[in-house]
Amino acid sequence: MRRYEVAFVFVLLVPGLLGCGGQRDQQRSASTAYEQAQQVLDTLDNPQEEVQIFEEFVRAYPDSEEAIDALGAVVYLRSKKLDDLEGAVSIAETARSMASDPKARFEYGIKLHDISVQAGRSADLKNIADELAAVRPLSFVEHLAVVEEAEKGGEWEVMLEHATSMAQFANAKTFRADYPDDDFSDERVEFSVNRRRGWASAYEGAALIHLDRLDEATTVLEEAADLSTLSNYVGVPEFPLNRYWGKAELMQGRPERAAELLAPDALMGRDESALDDFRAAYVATNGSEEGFENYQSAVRQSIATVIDDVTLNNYSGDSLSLASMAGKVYVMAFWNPG
Amino acid sequence: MELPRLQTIWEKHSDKGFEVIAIESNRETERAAKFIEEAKLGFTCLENGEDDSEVVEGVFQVWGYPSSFIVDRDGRIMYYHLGFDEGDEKKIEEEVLSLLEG
Repeated sequence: MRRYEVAFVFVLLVPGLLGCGGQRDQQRSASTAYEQAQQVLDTLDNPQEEVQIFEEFVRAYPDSEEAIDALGAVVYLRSKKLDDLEGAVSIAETARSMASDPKARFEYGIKLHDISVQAGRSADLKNIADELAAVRPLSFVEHLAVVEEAEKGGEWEVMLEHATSMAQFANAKTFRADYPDDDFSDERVEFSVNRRRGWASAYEGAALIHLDRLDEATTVLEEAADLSTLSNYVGVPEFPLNRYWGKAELMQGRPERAAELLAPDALMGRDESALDDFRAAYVATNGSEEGFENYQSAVRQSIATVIDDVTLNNYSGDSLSLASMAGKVYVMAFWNPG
Repeated sequence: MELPRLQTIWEKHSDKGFEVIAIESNRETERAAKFIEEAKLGFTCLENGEDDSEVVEGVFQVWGYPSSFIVDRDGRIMYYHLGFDEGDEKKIEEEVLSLLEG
């Protein structure tokens, strides 16, 4: 199946902001039309024709939730399958200019910025964010989207502003209020709140680094230092705190401390930019890249988590213990059909 | 979807001592079994435990899906991956091959 359906499925989960009755009717007919469009799309195997159907849909229902998904599909098809970045920019601009719903305009704006950066152009990210902020406060996820776009485009002032706002969402009450239908355990909430705080600090620090405010960056990152040891089971931080902190240390001439901070992101999660900085830290310490391969594999082994032994059942009721896997290389894949 | 891609890698390298263990987190037994059958998954498919035996969140701290670990011959987790994008199967295969050779 087409991959973007998976990639953009979460966009559909974002609750709609359609308030009055007329808009609700329009949303209902958009949903029906989108289902029909999907049926036609299932019979096609040609990106050009698929693009046409998605674009027609966006033009017909620019304020619907489905149109945001459809624009995502168009941008994916035009940029990745048809090698037409300009066309992708153009339809994103059209969608944004046709939409009147503030949330839709914001989502199109984020998409427009993303594709514009890829096309080597700029889009006014500050305006995109400010326009929605004039109607209502942005959510955590929206601030995060702006921050991520700002990072891509190198718009550090915008990144700093929204990263700072993200920190205000890092508390249990706000997190629970963001997911009213879920009954998360206290442990899960604590984890998520810390993750929000870690993200906010990491991005705030990163923006400050790029603005050449290195001392402030170090302060922000150090204040979140209690989170730097807070990584997941495999030792990889869930947020890029140590990645940016490592960068700051490297830029301030402390490559050994940088390497220590960067190792999990660079080696376990295979983050390209962390790996580049990790390599640079090695070169700064040792004078050349010689011996780097052996060094990185030794560090990786030293920080690797030894997996716990658990016993689970398969679908025939037989049990398997992970201890029985000793001597084998295996991928453990966590999934669910939902 | 990640699992069918892992099936391809598994078919290519299972004779070298490579395995895949899929753990379904939600205990959606019927839907999971249907998917496994339709996708013709040949590797080990397990179900998360219940209550005190729950392991996906409780032991492995996995909250996002799909997530995967690559475990070496000594039981060390050498690679972690969250999410699945086109091309990720190549990275996973490279890591697996380097661990099989190492």
